[in-house]
Amino acid sequence: MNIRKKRKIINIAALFFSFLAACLGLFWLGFILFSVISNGLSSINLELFTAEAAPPGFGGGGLKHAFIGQLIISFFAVIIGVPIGLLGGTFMAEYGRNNKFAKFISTLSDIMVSLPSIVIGTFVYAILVIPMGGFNGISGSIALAIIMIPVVLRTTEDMMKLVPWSMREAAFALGAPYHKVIIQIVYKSSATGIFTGALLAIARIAGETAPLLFTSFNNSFLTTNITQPMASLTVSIYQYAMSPYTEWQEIAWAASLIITLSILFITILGRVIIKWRYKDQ
Amino acid sequence: MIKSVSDTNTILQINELAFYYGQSPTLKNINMSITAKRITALIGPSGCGKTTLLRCINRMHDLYPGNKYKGEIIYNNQNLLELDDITELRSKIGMVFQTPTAFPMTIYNNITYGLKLKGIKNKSELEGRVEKALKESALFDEVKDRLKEPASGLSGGQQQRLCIARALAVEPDIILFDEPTSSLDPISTAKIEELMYTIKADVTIVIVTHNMQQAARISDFTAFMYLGELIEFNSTDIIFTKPVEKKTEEYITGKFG
Repeated sequence: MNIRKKRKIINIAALFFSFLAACLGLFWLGFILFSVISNGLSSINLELFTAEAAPPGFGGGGLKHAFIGQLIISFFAVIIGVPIGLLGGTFMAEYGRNNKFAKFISTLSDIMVSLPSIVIGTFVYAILVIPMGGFNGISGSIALAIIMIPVVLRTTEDMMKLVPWSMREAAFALGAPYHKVIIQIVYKSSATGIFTGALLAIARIAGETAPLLFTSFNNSFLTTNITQPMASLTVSIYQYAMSPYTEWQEIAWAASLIITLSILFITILGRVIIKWRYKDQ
Repeated sequence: MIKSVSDTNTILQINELAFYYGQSPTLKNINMSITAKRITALIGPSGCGKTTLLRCINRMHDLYPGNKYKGEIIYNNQNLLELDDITELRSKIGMVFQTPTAFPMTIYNNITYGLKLKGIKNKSELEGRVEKALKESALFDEVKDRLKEPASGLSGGQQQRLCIARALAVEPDIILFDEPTSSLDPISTAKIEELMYTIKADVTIVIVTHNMQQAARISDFTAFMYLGELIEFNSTDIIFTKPVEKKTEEYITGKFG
């Protein structure tokens, strides 16, 4: 067999196996989406959003408390996580750009992005839940914020570093002080990228269950008090899906569908914005 | 030979300037005087230090750690290398870069950026200054109907003229040009050269260029630099017709560089 033929065969084999691997990955994604949609769609009704939890056997009942809890926990996570990530990323891209400490933090963030979220849950449990005397909503927010920070920080850093140095120098050359250069020129140039990063970080935490199990835990009743245990969609899904009652399992399917679609929507929105903003570059 | 230059109106006097990145000097013993309202060109092969010298004049090197200036650059009876407030200095000594650096904002806001930094808020004054700067940079007719549109919509040559307008708007004494036409096509280059020729009535221009023809076309004085030293500095006519130094002649005639 000559060398050309051999190369062709290797090429075809490589193509075949990588195609197979891609199909295998996509198959499970499709399978998950299909089963979530087929099981969840029939259980979605108005009561899901308007009613609070009902005991099994009585029929009805919804997840209003979990939707509101999820929104509150995520809201505070964003309020805490995004500014810290943004400022940290700014430090690393600007003030600390020649600094070994900043490079170390940057590497550390990369590691933190892939840290198992349950570790963060147990960490917050130890440093916050126990001293506060019990599960509470704000601990859940802080756990989620800790997950968000490295994601936001790294995207902010990368997006700000994409802004060419000559742009900053041009502003300096007009007599601008550094903080004005950052706010008026660098943030403005990288705003879409940073916003998208924050959006993807929100998508990342929206589906987290493990850190909430150790922090905000769960609540069968509606509460807006962040010092109390608070229901969330993911923990409710965990609880309802594990229960032996069919109507609870159906509610879990419906909630799964909603959370999947929300994350899908946020992620696609993020990608679309990136594509739209950076299509010329 | 420097004498013939310094008897005219000097705006910048550079005395025994040396500049260091780390240990070894990238500029050595530079002595020259820049004449007001004239164009001074810095030429020389790559790495000769011409851009480094240009960036000493507005202290751009201060942005990066590990640099050191020695000697003096006298401007307004002060050694500008010892100034504490360099933002004030930079509003007096503007800069235009190799690639256009239009800010991510409207054409109008690009030009008012430096003015707002100086604390000018009056709307009619801002409008007047924008129009004046755009007219001086020969851009007004092309953009007068789209001042509120993003500057990124302009062509490269237009963006570069916008950068010149932005530098002119703050009414500086000196504008430093760092190879301003190296990324532009010949027509845009011609427009910018023409523009430099007209604005020298108001401002002093120091330009770094790789293009010897450009230096010959537009400048009044030319400095030839080699390996971090100023080899020869004289009126452009003399540099290009009867240079004193052998190195200069070799460079001008294309024997190296």
